[in-house]
Amino acid sequence: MHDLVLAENLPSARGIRENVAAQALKAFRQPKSQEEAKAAARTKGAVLYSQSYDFDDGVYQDLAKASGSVAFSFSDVLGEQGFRRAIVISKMRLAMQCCRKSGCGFVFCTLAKDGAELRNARELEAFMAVVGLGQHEKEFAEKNSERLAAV
Amino acid sequence: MKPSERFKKRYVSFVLSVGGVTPALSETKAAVHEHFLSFFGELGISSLAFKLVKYDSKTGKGVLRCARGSVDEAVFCMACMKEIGGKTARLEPLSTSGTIRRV
Repeated sequence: MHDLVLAENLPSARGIRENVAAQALKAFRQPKSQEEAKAAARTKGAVLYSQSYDFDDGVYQDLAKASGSVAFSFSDVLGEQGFRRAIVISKMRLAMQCCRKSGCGFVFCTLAKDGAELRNARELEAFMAVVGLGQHEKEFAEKNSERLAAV
Repeated sequence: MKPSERFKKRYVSFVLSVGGVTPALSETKAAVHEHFLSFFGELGISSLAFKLVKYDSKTGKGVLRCARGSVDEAVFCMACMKEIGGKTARLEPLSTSGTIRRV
């Protein structure tokens, strides 16, 4: 399994083959608005990440057409506490349903900014399960992260 | 009740560090219980069948028990631990097993 992170030169956690800096990916985008997200979703192989996880349905459809993916970050869960954390997980579940419905890709990562935010492969797998992924979807997410790391 | 009729268990081994050091048993017990309670709530804990089975304060390694169907939730909860008493904390799950001996 590969992990996308936001800082460079972080050590790999247990079970993680390689940490890939998200900024190093050509198609990694962090849109600030829906308009930016719509434009970014048309980029071939785009990886969209938004902390609010509230893209429009059209964005997911455009992403599916362009073979793009939505990034789900564990750091967003870790950064919140209590009720706010519950809301983030709930938003992730809804975003995952949209991914499923539109047929666009998804990738689960830590997007860690420092070593304390890194998580091992088992923890990422549990993160996927909590967001509602089945076994086949987990395998797809792992393959997708490996494919992104190879680009 | 026959053993086969009881709830199915899983044991998860972990290593805990708080601010780079391994805490004492009482501190660990309080912190882990509080973290799981805030994450799952009272009702969630009851169906999780959670228990801190053992902990070695020298190595920081321990084992906790949970229900078979809730292993992923328990591991996710462990991963969500960020700090204890203002210090950076890490509760890292190591392995999962159906028996204490094999974990």
